[in-house]
Amino acid sequence: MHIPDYFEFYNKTKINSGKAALENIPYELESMNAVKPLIITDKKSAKNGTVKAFIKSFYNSGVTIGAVYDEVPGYASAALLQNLSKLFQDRGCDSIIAIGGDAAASAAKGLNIMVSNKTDSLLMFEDMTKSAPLKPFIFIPSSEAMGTETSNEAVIDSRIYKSDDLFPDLVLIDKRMLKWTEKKNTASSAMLALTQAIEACTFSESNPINDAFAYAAIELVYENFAGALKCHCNKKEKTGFINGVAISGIVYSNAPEGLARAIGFEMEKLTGLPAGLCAGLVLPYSLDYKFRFEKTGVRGELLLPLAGIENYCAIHESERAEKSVELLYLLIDNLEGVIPGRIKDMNIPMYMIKKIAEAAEVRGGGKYRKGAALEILEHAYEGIPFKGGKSK
Amino acid sequence: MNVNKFPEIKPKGKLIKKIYVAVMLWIVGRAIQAAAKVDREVKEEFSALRDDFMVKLWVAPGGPAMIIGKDKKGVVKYLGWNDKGKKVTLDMKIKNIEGAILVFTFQEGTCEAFCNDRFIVSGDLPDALIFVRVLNIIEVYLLPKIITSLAVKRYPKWSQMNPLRKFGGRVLIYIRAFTF
Amino acid sequence: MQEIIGTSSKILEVDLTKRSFKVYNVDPLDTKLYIGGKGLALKMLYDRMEPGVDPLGEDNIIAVTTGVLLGTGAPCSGRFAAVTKSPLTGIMTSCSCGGAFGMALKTSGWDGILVKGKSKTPVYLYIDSKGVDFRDAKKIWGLDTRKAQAAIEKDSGGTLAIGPAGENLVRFANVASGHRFLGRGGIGAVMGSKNLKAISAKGGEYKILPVKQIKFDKTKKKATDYINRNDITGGSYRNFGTNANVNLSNAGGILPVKNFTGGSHGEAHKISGEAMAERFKTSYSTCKPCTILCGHKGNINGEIRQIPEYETIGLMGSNLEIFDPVKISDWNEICSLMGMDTITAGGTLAWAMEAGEKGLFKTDLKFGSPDGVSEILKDIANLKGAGKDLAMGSKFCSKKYGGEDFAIQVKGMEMPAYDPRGSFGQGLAYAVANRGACHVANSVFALEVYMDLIEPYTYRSKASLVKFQEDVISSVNSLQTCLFTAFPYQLETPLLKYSPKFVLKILMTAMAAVAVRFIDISLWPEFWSSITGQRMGITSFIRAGERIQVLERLMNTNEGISRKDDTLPARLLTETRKCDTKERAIPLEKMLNRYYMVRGYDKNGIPKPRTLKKLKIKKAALGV
Repeated sequence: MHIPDYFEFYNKTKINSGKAALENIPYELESMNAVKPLIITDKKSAKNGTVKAFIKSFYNSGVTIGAVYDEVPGYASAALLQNLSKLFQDRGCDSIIAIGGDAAASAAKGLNIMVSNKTDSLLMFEDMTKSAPLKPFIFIPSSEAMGTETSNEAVIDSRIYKSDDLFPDLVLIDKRMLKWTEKKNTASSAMLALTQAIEACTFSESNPINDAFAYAAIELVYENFAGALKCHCNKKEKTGFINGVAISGIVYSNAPEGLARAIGFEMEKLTGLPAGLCAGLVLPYSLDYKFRFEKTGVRGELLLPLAGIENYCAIHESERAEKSVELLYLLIDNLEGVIPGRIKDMNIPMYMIKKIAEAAEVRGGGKYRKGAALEILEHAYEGIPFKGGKSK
Repeated sequence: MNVNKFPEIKPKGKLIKKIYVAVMLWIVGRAIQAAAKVDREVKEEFSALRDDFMVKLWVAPGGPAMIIGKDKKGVVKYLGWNDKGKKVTLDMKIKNIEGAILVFTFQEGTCEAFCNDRFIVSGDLPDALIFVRVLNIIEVYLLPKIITSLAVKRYPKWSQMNPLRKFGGRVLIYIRAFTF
Repeated sequence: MQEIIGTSSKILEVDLTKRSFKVYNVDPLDTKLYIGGKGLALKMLYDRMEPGVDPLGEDNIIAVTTGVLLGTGAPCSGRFAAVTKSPLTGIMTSCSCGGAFGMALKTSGWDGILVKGKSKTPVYLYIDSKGVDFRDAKKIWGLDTRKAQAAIEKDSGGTLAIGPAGENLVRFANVASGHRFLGRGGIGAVMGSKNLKAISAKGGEYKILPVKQIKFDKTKKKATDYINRNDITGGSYRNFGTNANVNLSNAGGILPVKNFTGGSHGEAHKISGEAMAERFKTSYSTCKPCTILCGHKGNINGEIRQIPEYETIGLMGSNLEIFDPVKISDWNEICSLMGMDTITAGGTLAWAMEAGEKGLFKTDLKFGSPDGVSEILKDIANLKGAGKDLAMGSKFCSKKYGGEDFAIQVKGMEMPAYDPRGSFGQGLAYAVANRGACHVANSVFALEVYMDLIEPYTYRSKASLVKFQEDVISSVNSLQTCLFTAFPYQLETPLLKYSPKFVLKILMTAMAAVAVRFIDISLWPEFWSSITGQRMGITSFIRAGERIQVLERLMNTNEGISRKDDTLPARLLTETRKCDTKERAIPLEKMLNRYYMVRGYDKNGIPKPRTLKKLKIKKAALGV
């Protein structure tokens, strides 16, 4: 196993997953000295019965729910935080529970900073080291969760707030909260989770603990993805899948952002398409690029979670890295019909590609090789794998 | 923003489930008291415990409870549900009523529930394990094999070899549990 | 002077890269199916442009077309259309303008011009009946719109010119023709990207005559009567300009105040048309020819200036909490000279002010304070400092700096000065309008708020009504005549004029789909058929509008537009204003579902193949 000269790994998130997990919330709240949570969620979760199931789990617990705010739009914004903060203080809440996806989680994290430090605006508050201890924050993923929620990042008004304090204290995965969603959404979250996990463990300075987490995330997602996609009724697969997605957030927090993820999010900003999908379509190409043209390359160990131990052993050590890149290409091919096969099919015009590449490079701040983003995007756009480089 | 649009929610209770668990706890409690006299193995298990042993098995928050303890003579007794004035040495709390329902409808075995962190134990852990073993034996006595095998890890072999002990014990325990 | 009977149907196709041109003869069937003007322009672009073209690249095409009515002397016919792919929104944009260029182009014998390619050096086009002359524009490059026009117009009848904003590719740069503008969507930037400073036409070489002169004269008389008789076109608009809307909007709670946080304001009367008419002693300054006469000029600070239109007053005035007409007029002048769209500029400034207030964006601009606005407008036009980001529009800025919920835009285009929270139908209209938040694709607000013909706070019948209005207006924009003729031509017809209002209101609210069939809109098709000599009834007129509307939608969905884009800013969907008596939310999803159904789109808002077949929308094979 690869071990760098120096590394840090931090994770404070507890994961409760499985049967009757929801009913543990009152107990968990009690153990965190909280009695009145504020629930933050989006309209979709309120509509499809997720919130109802959630409230039911509070029966007989004696815990009063401060309020259920179910109007989170597709993104977290300062105005939303103002509303939430008002509600939080008005009801005298002392903890936050977010249900749903990225927007709800980001809003919850932002709100947490605001109410813990008693500021009116998040912008007034810039130094997390001076922050008061944050309130207990529980996150419950719905089917739309895509792995950014469990990270230490909050995106509010296009700004990224990153601090280890922002990890959720508890992530609770229960099949009752995983309602039906479009296949495209499931595919998108799988793609983002894979991107986050794979880019974290192929990063040259990645540490063994993070690798272990990443492999777990990859395996969970890769194994259960097909089942979760096939039918909404495959609850077990779905639970496993969301577990993988949740872990990928933790993995991502302990590694720098990879190029594919950066491209995905910049693409989302410019085109409005889901970031996961964009990142996923770019991932094989970015990995291929890394494998062929960058000195650090890709470690063969990546194949283990992707192919399983038997296939892993059957393939010679020198070919493992290439094989894992191939498998990722194959994954996208296999998803034909669910997601578009290449960026071109997503109705993104070519002239946007250049802008996206530039934006991704700015986002990386010189972290990525110059010109790499554009080259990768051009290949991903037409769906042409790379040639040359190290490959035989 | 109109704050009143998002009202406070006071959760309802789960009365039927609570009653069910209370009844089950009462039966199990009485049965343990009876078994401690009837069954050799249970007797042995209890004798290994210290003299002021008192266990409270209950459902949080404020749910039904069952207290079993040794009296001054060292006889195991079911002591009702109220722990007022009693010195509980082993406090076994089931986190929530759903967990209790899983255990008492035998969807999850006692050991399994223990592993799934459904119990919070404060007290000696070996004591708790002894108590779980006792619970397993009680289940074998109280319930038909088909249900018990769901709930316990291993269905004991002696019951197959010695039906007299099993069925005899079952009759005795039932009689003792329901007669005062 | 030579004569054109009916329409010449000749379009100039100009390639700036090769500096060449050819003449394209429009298929008569296309003229019938797409009427002319905007419709024909869209059809020609649809045939020529692939999806995914860079709006600021060589392959984007600008189409400037004149309608059938222009030059015949029909009332309010002094208008022409321009269509191109917008750099602001990335989808099609179509604008209408009342400047002199249209008449000059048409009387030079051309029905339109298509410009593609990119010139290496600054250039301007001079058009006469023989064709196109490519002239060097180095000397006029950098001049403002007025000076540039003056430098060219010595020997021409009308000019289209961009200002510095267009040259600097400000995404919402517009194109001036006289004191009128091709305003929205950044056509100026597209011209700038082609190094095309101006297009000028000689004009006066042909006389346009209708085929059926007698029928035409009869229709014209009736139309003129209607216009003069109508309260709006013959009364308030004629006397006070479009700013007559200010008081109406203020009373109806749809005037944007402080970046759409309010719907009315106590000081709004200061910027109303009535107040300005008195204060600035206004006189007419309109498109030519015009019968309504809504354009005004006045003496502002000792200078004769064009009075700002309602949208400018709304977006740069009340929306920034500024109620000084002189200041607004100053900014209107800057925008006119620099060549910038005042709606987008105002909307973007409002975003900047609010983002500044919230600390998201560094700026000294403040609501209610006119300080620094002139400077920032000039900075935007010259891409200096903060202007560099603001020149990309509020959608870009909000994605970059945050504040998406108060970036009041749809599909990247800033919202005009009618708040949909007081007019649910307008909310749907904004969400589904093809070029983004657009008030000229649809004016349901007028029916809902100004005339009180429909209940504004319901989702009922809004979908059919919006569809009907879009179809009619698309056709009107293709004829092409002024949109304001919609008031007299529809409302002055006997059935609507003499029906009691409450009956109309009940009918329109309860069953708009049926009620709209009784609206007599025969004047427009009569004009068309009397000029071209071909037959056209009300049904085929509306069907043509529907065809144009769906074609534009199709072109946009090919660019990636779908249901996700047919939405409103979060502020409008979630926040309640002080002026609202009751907490209401625009039932957008419900209205959208119905709208897609009546339009023949699928659940994702994409036109179904069946719809396209029904409307005979097909890509023509060119060059065969």
